[in-house]
Amino acid sequence: MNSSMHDQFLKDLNQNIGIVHRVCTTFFFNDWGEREDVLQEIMYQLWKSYPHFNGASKFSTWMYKVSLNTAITHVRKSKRAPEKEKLTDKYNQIAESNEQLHTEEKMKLLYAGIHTLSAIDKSIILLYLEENSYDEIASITGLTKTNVSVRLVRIKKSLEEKLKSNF
Amino acid sequence: METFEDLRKCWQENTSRNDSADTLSKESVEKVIRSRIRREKNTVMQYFWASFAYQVLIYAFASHLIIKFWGDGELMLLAFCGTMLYIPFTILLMKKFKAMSIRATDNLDFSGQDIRSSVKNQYVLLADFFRFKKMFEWLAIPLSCLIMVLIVFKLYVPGEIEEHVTGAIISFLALLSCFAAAIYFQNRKRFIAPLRQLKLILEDIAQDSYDLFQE
Repeated sequence: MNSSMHDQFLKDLNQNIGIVHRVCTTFFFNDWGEREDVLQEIMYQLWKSYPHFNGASKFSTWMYKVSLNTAITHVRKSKRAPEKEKLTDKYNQIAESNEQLHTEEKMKLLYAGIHTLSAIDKSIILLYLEENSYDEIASITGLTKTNVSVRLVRIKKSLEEKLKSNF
Repeated sequence: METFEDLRKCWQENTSRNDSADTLSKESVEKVIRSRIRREKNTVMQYFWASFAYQVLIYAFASHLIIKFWGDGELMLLAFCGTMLYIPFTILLMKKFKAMSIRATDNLDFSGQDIRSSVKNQYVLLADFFRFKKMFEWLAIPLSCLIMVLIVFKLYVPGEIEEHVTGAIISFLALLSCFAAAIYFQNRKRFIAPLRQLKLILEDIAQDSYDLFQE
């Protein structure tokens, strides 16, 4: 990668860096160490793949693809099995102790709920929360638009039930 | 109780507020990239040195036997067979491993791949290498054990195998068990568990699209 491309990469990366943070938090919500590790791995994969980015899609769409693929690969390589988990007691306590939840706490609770989903469902709900269209979600995940829509209904219902029992 | 849509709004407010706060400097990005390149090189070199040392041991032992017992047709044949057995497998194994590691690390181009294709490619690549590795193990490991037992009995046991058939069989089975145990644990960690995880993801994707495995 030459110097001007490197500078352009840095500019594009900084404009969309929130995507990387949110992918990392979504996949490694309870593990700060893994989150840092996968954040660096995503940055490295983005840097390596950047010369292949041909502008056929939006930069953010490309970034979601690289970030989610890296996170899913990292989950596979990680010692912890990507099993479905229940919401932790820690977050139950947060919910019970505050009637008026602060934004940060609400976010934690939402992340804790998302953390219980499978890798693909995590990706879909993250993309949905990030205001991607069904077409974009389908293009990033490789599912059809209909599948995305069906799965989203199911994921939202499941999340709502989980969150309901914790509020 | 807040609805999911309330939380979605909260998410969007929170992300738009945080996005501007996390800019990265050129130095910090370069530092991360340098450290990742170093880590990747180390991983490849670790495998290289382990594989190199193992091969040096095999070939050095076989050469030593051929030179030391030059003229002993049976022993030379065994050493020669051992060498011949390992050369093609070593070449093939290295080629397959190289292809897998290069695609897995250097050229794994996530940019054009959606999640489904990426996971499927990883599964196919890993399963292909595992299939080859299993074939190598089924063929080469029992043969290696047999050659080792034959050489050891020929060199160090008076009366050789002819007088100690039971001992030779026990030695062969013991050696084979050691190899089998080591291979089992390695395969479970490096192949069976990762393949199971990838299959779970693929099955999860295929939940609503039954055509996945028919493609």
